[in-house]
Amino acid sequence: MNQDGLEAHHVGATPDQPRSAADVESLVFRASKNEERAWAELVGLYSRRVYALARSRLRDQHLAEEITQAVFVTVFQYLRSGKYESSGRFEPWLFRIAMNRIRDHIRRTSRRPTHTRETSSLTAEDRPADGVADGFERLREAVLSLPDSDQEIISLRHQAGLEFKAIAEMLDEPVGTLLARHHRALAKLRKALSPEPVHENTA
Amino acid sequence: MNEKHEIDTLVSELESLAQHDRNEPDSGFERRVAAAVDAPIPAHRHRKKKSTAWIPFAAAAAVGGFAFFWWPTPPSTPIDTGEQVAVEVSDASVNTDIWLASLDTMDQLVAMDSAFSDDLDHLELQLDTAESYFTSEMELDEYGESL
Repeated sequence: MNQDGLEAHHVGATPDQPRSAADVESLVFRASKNEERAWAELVGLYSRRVYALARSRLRDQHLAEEITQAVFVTVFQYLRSGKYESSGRFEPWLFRIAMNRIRDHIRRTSRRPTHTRETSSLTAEDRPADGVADGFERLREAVLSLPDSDQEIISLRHQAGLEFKAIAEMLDEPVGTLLARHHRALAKLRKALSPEPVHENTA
Repeated sequence: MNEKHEIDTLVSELESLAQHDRNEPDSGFERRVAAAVDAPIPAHRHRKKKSTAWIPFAAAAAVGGFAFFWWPTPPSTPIDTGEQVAVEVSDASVNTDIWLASLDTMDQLVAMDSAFSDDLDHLELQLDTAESYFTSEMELDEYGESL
């Protein structure tokens, strides 16, 4: 991977850095009371993280935006109906809805059509020539080569930017288990990105 | 390069990729997402639509019901098929037959009515005549079968 290119492209602190749980709950409460500004703020805070999660799992920009919209429509409907119980767990709840949407899509298609489409429809001339894009594509391919459970933990941790505690609440697993899973997934990813093929001793 | 450094580098690359993906949508992305709740939600392309298969069946049932109640009834014409149909026999009639079949009853009738007694004597005479007409039991049997 072109490390220099990736690091050069790296953007610093994101504008959608997570706030405190109390701030978020306040926003959620105001949004549930039809306050448009609060709703817009909530969307601004989380929509791109949901998009990035869907983008990484589905490999399709339009589909990722469609799913993001569907997720927020669901959130909005829940807030307006009063079904959402404020318990300081908005973030795990939001991303659980997103993951369910993504899983539903993957289950329905039973494959990764967007992945196939993206890689097959791009000719050599169409593909980005710069090292950054190549590095990203290689990283995406490597992540996609992992088992689904490993892809999921990496996407939730890095693409969605969730803390392990939030992921643990989402997946209903102990934090220690998730840390171990994440570490194993990274080890597999590192192996997948390794430029030298692994030669097993067949003698 | 040791493993920890490689993992740290990998995490950094993943964060860069995530940041790239978050910045991928255009500036109107948030507005579209926020506005999606106000737009009429189209039926999801994978969502199952309500089945309309019941409509033809319901229509057929309605037509059938209408025809059943409102169609003019054709005049019924009795058709003689020549078949015998068992009829109900009253208990009184059965009891009378049983009563007549009794030998004691027969004796009482003979004693009460002389005409009835004469009729029985005449019937007995005819039977004796018929028996003498046939030369053998074989002929009597054949004649009986023909009856």
